[in-house]
Amino acid sequence: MENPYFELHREFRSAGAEVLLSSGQACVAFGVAAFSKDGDWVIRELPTSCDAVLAVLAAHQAVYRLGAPLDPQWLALGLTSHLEYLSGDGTRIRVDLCSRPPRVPDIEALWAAAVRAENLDIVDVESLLRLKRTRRLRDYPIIGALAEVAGLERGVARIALENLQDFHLLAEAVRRWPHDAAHTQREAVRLLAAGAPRRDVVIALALEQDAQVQADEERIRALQTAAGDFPRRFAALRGRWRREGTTLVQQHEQLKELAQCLLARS
Amino acid sequence: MPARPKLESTTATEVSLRLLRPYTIGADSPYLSEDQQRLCQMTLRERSAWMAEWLRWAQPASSRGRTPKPCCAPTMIRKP
Repeated sequence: MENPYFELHREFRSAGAEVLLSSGQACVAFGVAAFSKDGDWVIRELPTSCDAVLAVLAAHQAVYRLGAPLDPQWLALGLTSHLEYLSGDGTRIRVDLCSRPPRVPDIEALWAAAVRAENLDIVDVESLLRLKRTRRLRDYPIIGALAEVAGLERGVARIALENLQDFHLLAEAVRRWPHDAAHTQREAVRLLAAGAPRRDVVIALALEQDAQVQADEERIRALQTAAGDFPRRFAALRGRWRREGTTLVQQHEQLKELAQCLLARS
Repeated sequence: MPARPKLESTTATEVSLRLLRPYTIGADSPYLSEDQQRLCQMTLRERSAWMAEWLRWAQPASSRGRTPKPCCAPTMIRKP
């Protein structure tokens, strides 16, 4: 038995798409998440990659969910495409693709650092740590876990010092790497290095997490504002697709037409 | 607490590749559940099978409007 998202990744690659497994399935591959119900990919902002992925998904009789068309024009705006289908055994497969993931400043560096094993292509741990700084509180224990296994356990100071989420392990990292700790800008590390009371460090960690949650909420609010009435119009279009049994290829063309408003507002 | 390995110069790619192979982590980890600690010790292929079984278990539960619980975790895969 094989993870259907890993299988789908190999189908994308066989079809000629340049894609990287990201987010939850990357955490499963790295052994720090026991479960993820959907699949996220970073895709090259190229027509060839988009067409290859769409061909694979069309063969699975996938449908679009609310989001951007899988096309470089919309991907270049930092938008995400969302699709889904039911696999042969009835599992709902949810597919999310973007080319410019949030909080990743250098996309080429992300592609250069990606890891490849057993025909899987996966974002590297440091990029994954940035991607996981979302508005969802459940992502922060995952960040802590990645920082523990990739930073503290593997002896990489910057990963540990910049990402550990709890007092005890961060204090251990500061004791172990005092020189690196002295040069970091992170408030909780700075306080630990200065011998501040535990209470102050814990407050700094909580405020840092809240700032990251707020930044992601703000990013999503801006996207929703820019989308205007697109979600309402998409819901109407999807209703028509359901009634008429519209194929993914046709859905794609109609969604591109509908999503022109997103290009105009960018 | 178990001794940590010595500091070494390494890159994100090298560390990431290492995490795709089985590894162990102390039972006192504040972040990783028992399930996750078992997952760490698996090969990539075993992690893939674990996830497949998870999805198979989760699907009927979610279709009934219930959130699958960790107690429904796969039992087929044992520690190496």
